[in-house]
Amino acid sequence: MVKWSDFERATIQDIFSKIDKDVVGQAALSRCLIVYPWTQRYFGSFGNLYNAAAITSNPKVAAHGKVVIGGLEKALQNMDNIKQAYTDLSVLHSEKLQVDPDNFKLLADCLTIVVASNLGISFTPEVQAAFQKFLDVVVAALRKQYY
Amino acid sequence: MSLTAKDKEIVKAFWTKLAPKADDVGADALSRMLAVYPQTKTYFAHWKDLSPGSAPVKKHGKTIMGGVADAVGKIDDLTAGLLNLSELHAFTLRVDPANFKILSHNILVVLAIVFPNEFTPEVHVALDKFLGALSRALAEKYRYPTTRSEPQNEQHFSPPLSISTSKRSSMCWLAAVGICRETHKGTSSKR
Repeated sequence: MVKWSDFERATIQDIFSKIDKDVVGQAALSRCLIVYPWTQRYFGSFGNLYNAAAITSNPKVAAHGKVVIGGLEKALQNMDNIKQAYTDLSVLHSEKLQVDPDNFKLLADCLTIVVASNLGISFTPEVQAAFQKFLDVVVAALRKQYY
Repeated sequence: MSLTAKDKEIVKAFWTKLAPKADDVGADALSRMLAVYPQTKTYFAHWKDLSPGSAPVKKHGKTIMGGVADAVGKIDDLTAGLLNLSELHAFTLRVDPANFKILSHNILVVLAIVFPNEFTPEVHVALDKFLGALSRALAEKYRYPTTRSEPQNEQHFSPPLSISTSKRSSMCWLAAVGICRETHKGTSSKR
């Protein structure tokens, strides 16, 4: 089981209360699709992803960004048992969506960068450490059901 | 994933904005790397203070960004331009190249904070590619038959026995390569 310090719990809750969830998910996902274009392979049904402008304005990307943030909120509500809470999500990603799990880290890095940009200087090294630990745990939980 | 002409243009243009703040960016990126990826602290065990924003961290952040500035100037041939730095990292510092990626990530995080509007996805991808190319150039000499002559290597120093072995070896070769000005009392750093 992952141990969270009081600082980490408080910090992560605080981050999610401050960020604009409608914007962050979309921004992180579009950044991922632009910066790591091979990740587009999983979004064949999303229509026009031909260039950065198309990706940034794509409504399906925006909608899916919200889905991703919703997933993170589920982890937030189950911080003491993220692995358990993510069992079905992990099966979904491994068996149905067949996403290469290395891609989870790429999206996590983009999330970190977008949140950093959103929060500015209040995203201190200590806050970054707590947030990245949270994302590491989420990624590990998503990877859990892969064989 | 080599740099296109457009990538180079974006990197150079962004660098003109970044250059005046480079020292602060370097210090912040290094602070974050040490705080968020504590395993990286192993390379700096000889520093008195590894906390974010400490004096050694600030100084070294400046050194690192000096290297990045150099790379921007040599963007058309990073491998050739960074040969000396690659030798330094390969034979003397022996930094595991996986850490270059970690530092690069933290540089990008700082850029997102300092330049929230200019650090667009297009700038992000160009810089990510550039830092990746820089890292590859730094790793160039890692598994390379060395043409350097036999152990007049910097690491074969004999500092006074009163200093612990690990501190001796790390301080001495750092002094030798001009990174660390500290020498032990009464011992010269070069043989």
